[in-house]
Amino acid sequence: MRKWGMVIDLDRCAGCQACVVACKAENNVVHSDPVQEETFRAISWMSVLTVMEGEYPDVKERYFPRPCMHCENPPCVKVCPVGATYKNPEGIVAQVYTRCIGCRYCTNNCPYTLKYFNYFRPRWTREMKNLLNPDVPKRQVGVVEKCTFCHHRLQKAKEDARFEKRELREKDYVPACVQTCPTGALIFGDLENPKSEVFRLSKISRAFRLLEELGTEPQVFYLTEGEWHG
Amino acid sequence: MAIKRRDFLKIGGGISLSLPLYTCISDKSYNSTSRSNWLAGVERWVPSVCQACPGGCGIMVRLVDDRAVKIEGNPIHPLNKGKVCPKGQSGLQLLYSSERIRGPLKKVGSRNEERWEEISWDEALDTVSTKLQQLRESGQSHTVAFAGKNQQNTTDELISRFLEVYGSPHFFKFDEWAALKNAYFVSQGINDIMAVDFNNSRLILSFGASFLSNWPNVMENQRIYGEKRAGGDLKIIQIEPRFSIEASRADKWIPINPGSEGLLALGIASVLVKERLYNQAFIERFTSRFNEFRDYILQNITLDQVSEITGVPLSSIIEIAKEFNTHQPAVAVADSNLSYSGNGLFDILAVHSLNALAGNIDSPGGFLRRRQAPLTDLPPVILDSAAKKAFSEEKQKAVSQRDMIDNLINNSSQGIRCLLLSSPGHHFDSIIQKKKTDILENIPFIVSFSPFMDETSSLADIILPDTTFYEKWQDHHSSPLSEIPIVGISRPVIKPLYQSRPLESTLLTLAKSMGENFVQNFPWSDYKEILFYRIKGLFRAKKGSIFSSSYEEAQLRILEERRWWTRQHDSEDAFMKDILEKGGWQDPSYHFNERSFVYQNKSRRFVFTSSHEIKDQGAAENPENGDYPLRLFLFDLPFTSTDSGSKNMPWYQENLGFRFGLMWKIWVEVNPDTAGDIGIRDKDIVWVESPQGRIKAVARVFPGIGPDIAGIPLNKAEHPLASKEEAASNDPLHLLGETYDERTGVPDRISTHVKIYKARGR
Ligand code: SF4
Ligand code: SF4
Ligand code: SF4
Repeated sequence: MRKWGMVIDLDRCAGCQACVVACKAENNVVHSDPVQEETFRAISWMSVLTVMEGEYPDVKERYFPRPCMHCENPPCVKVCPVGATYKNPEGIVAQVYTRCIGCRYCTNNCPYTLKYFNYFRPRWTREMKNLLNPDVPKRQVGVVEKCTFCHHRLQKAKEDARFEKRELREKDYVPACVQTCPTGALIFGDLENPKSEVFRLSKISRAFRLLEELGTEPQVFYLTEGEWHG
Repeated sequence: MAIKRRDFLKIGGGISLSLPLYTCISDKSYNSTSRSNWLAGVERWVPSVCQACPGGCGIMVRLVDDRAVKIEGNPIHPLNKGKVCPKGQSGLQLLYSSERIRGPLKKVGSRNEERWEEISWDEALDTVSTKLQQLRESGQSHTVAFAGKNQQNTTDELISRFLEVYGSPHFFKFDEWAALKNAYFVSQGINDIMAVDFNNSRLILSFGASFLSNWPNVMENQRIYGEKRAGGDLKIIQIEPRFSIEASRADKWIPINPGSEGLLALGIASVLVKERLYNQAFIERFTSRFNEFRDYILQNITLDQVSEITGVPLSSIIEIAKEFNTHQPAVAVADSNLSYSGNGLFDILAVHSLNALAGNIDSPGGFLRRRQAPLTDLPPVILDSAAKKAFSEEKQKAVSQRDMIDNLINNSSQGIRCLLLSSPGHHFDSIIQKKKTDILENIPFIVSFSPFMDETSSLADIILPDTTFYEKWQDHHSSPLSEIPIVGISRPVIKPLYQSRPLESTLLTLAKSMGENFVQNFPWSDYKEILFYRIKGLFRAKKGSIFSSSYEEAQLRILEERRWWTRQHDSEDAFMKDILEKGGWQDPSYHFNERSFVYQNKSRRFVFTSSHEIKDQGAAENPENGDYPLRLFLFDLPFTSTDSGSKNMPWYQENLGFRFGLMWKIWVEVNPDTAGDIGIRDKDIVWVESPQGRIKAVARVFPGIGPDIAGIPLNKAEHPLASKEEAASNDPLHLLGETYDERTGVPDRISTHVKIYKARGR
């Protein structure tokens, strides 16, 4: 069985935001507006956080692309009363919108604050409804959503493989953010496959995970040089 | 209609057909097929070219039935190799923007108002063509002007041709990179910009250059940056008043007083010259006036003075010079944002002189000059007597951007009577901001081709709405900032929406309605025919190839650099079919030592400029004014300056403030000490006021900006729907005074002074 995971090389990321927008375009996440900004209710499955240190003129800044960690041991899944969020056998923490009752337990229990509640009905203009991706359901007000590692792409890739009567290859499946990242900072693949790039990178000395001490075992690894660990 | 489809899709049923799909994921599976049986609708991928900035990245647009639903990069396009930037990713929001103009409009009521009436294409074209013919018949053809952006495509040729046949010398092309071109013209005699071979340089000494965020070839630069950061050998020093994205990625950020970049470059040059750390052989063979330059520097530049004016410590200046010398090949890079200071040419020339000292011109890891792609030229124009007469008379011809602007806003006997406008871009917008009334007063008839309601279209008497680039044929030539000539073929991804029409078709229709001479000069039935005519030149040229895998590309480069070349297509038809499928053509080889191509001045050398010939540096600044204690520093956000369309891309706009935790607000960056002095706290809502006006912004206390500077971004939208913006009243450009760069005519962005105070309430 595969275990899909991501490696994010902070030394490469240029903070360009291509991953953020690619995710929204792929997954029908509506853009925000000033009201959502004021109330901190904007949705972005992938965001680039920034960490700034130092005093003028000796400042340093680090860009932190942050999707769902797809925890091996996900706190969000444990608290869902209806099984709307679950860990699938290939390592992806998924969300079923039609099951979600909007209790927001998971939102509160995710230590990385990576679950988003739809406080508003997604407001697409009439014209913009044209660009919606038919592979991904639109959400209703009152459900929780999150990064799925573009799970629908995996489904599609599997069907293509089946049609061609071959095994699924690792490179057949890549989330939208990874596909577009211009610097190659995002790397995706099978963490169980010793030949894969992510397997190798997740084990090098530059690798670390966010809030490792919580025991959530994120399947997203970060790489960086020097003192930025942890 | 496609929208309805969604409801059907939700149910999850649907058909699936096998159609070619470029999966874009690995280069091997470039040509594969999708067979999902749960996907509703017919899926197709169409190769095209993103033109949301001048970059021209290769894209693959995913269509489901007739809706465009996602953009990915074309994996074999040599510029972006399968990647797309956030603006490109937001592109479909531009296409499906609710701000699109649906069909031709005529202004009703006063010209200052924006009240419109829908009219038919026939009526609109008739009005414009009648007007043009009247002016021409009365010997006034030279009073017609076309204002647009400097574009890298055949539309430019078409417009020039139209004006030439008509008899007008006035094609005003606003160019973001005008200042840089001027500098290369002065130093090397070329009216072009040079590429930087980042791939092979070991040090980037950047004087505020936004090479990772705002250059047209940003995708190439980001790729190189990523590769080199993962184990390569590349050092970056960013010299800039503000801790920009580039500064944050650099090994070292050197803050500098705004407008003194050129002087610092001369300071660095003086260290190199004094210690003889320059490339003697290059200087002897390829440069002239080095002795004057050396003497000038030795006599006039003292490091203490440089340090005082620039604010850069003496030790840093010496250290930078040493590093520049030891990390060869190194490039000293400037970009046109230095020209927003009133004195840009001086600064850029001073920076470029470092490259000459190091001998890094036309050499690996240095500055290269891109060749033109061998497209077929259009046949020569045949002028009729009216046009000949127009050109024979001493009609004033706009030479510099400055002249163009004067021409537009100052009424004179030579004044423009009819102005045709096609998205001239941000430079022009910033002029309109200040001079709208003058333009309207002086120019009695204005036509806009803008696809959106925006600053430019608000001027118009008639709007003939263009489509976006997703709905038309186009060729796109790569920016000269990258040394590889690339021609990307952009094709309509969907049919023109609403009643919009490609500008090119509109021009051809107009031409055909204007008499025998026009018909003779425009024999083509549509724009696509013109493009194909030109593209066939690529087949006939004995070089380059249609986009191919990286491996094949490397092979070709090796062969071509040894002047070998093999034909890959037997016939023109086969070539055309292939180029449309792959998305374009490139020539990866670079030929060094073609001296007359790199130096086109008389001496065929790099000419050093001693700075006194330009202007005395550092003298102008600091008008002491206690009322306005802070210096305003306006900067560009990534890719907002290159196209006014960015305000119609909410996905893109909402992320521009990510470093400041802001989505739909303009912010002002203030140094922590300064904030303390003026009593402003982080996240206060403040007024920023200059003698010219005031705007509202969120104060962000930011250690990445020098004391007493107020940094404000330009072109930040405050609402996802452009029409809901109160932009006109809250645009930072309103703060600027009436000083302009001498040569480019662009408003000076760094010498205005402001004060900041808390706004009441929220
Ligand atoms: S990061 Fe949060 S949302 Fe994602 S799996 Fe872990 S707990 Fe759940
Ligand atoms: S796309 Fe890549 S480089 Fe850009 S912000 Fe995301 S991770 Fe960083
Ligand atoms: S860099 Fe320019 S051309 Fe390339 S994807 Fe971005 S906006 Fe489009």
